Amino acid sequence: MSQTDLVDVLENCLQKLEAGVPLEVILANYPDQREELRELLLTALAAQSPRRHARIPASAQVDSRRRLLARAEELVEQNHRRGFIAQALRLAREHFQSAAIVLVMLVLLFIALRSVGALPAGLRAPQPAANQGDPALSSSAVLPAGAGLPTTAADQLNQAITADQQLAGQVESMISARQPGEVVLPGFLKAQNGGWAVGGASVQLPPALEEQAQALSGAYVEVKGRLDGSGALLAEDVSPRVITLEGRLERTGSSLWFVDGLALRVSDQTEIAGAPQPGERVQARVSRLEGQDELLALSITGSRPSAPVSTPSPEAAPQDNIAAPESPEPNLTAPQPSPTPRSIPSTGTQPPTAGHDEPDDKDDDDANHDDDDNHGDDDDANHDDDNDHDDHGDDRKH
Amino acid sequence: MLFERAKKLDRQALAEIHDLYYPPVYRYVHYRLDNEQVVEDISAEVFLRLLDHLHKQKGEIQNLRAWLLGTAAHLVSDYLRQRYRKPVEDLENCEALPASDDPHWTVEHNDDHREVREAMQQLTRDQQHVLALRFSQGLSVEETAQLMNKTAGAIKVLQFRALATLRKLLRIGERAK
Repeated sequence: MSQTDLVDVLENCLQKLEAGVPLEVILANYPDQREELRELLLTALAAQSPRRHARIPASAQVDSRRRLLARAEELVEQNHRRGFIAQALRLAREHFQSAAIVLVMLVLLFIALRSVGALPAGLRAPQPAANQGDPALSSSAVLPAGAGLPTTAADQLNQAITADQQLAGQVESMISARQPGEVVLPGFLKAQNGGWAVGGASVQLPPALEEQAQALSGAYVEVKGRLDGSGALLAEDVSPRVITLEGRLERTGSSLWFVDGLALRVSDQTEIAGAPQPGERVQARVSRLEGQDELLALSITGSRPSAPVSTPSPEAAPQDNIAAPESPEPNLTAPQPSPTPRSIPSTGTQPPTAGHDEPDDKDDDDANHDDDDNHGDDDDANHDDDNDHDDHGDDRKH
Repeated sequence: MLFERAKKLDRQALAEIHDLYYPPVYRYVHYRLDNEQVVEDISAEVFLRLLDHLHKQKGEIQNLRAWLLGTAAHLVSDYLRQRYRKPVEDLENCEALPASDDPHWTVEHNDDHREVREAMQQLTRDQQHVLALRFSQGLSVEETAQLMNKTAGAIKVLQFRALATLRKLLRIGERAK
């Protein structure tokens, strides 16, 4: 088999590996190249290992967004000031009147005062509300489902957590503002001062829900209720907040299973169905555990039809929530959460922009390096470390 | 439409673009670097660079994802270059061990993890970029080719050579015996 053929064979094998075909089954098709392909495929598996721990911290994403928008606001302010000054100077040039000069002076004074916050409140530029109505925090800013970008179980989890944080933030704003309305509040349920609290907000439970709350104490829940306008949240229902994730089962253990790098704690109560095997895609219904990196697995389902091994305990009556949670009674002031994301396709889709471009040399350091972004060929010919193979005819882009 | 609004520094558009592309950018940088703080800083810097580009109207961006990942690749390369000039053993920035019921497996897994990253850093820039796009983003050969402005054949060759070199660096063949 020529080197060119081996390159194509390797790609075919990688696609099968990604699809979950066992390694030995793949290698059985290429007996003459078995050992070489085995090593290359094992290398590919090793090269995929950094991806397994790619759990995106919600705080990092929020902080990055905050920095971006803060900088954007500075630039907008800068543009406005330039516009004021340019306009004032143009007036002065056109009219050559003392009145225009006075206007320029007034504008400059306006800008100077504004920059030190000396203007009366009515004249200052309106500041966006902390949580309510801020488009940067709307659920539409969360990665929309069906965007076509590949998402892992970790992405789905982060999406769910982000959406929950937004919901909780909106409820807190409504409480602070003494706004009435139907709300859904996700968070960890805790006993507090003789009552209950979810995510720091006090929750009043009717006697009928007290027993249920006792059973769910410490768990990650979803409280449906009503704000009465005095800042009190009257709960109408408390149930476990279950998140459904889809991903690749990487490894199973006695008490921990790993799906796309996420650690799922399994127990006798975990329902296992479909005979899931490492390398296969599974669906997992999980609940968060406070202060821990693990998730509590309520069920894990593979693709093969089989009788469930165990069933969850009767008291856990979960309401399924796909990664972007859905609520039948949404917050009145909260935007609708994004719909359920689809299963992850093997190919991504392009972002909503036209054309194609590579980054330019905006980074000064790039001028000092062998910038190979502008080359249409394989740059390996310039390096010594990997010329162990016969050169292929490089497929240059025409 | 979204991008056009972002060019006018519309907050909502910028936020939507950020949240749409932050996960793939983060995953890309995380795939190549093992310092969480640096990963977060570089990921945020990618979007600040985008904002700067839009504000100064430096030119049209034809493919936003390619631009963002390409910028991430440049920033990662710059960081690695600076790090190799001034190697510093920073114990405080070592990766925190993930929770596991098997501490021995955790330590070994973490070490393998780091070993793979360090080995990949010895590949050429294009080889690292190909592996990062294929494995951190899950892109197909054709999608990777489009992002890197190369043919599918060139991508497959890059991929093959990257894995072949990595195989030697990780001594895969010796370990399997």
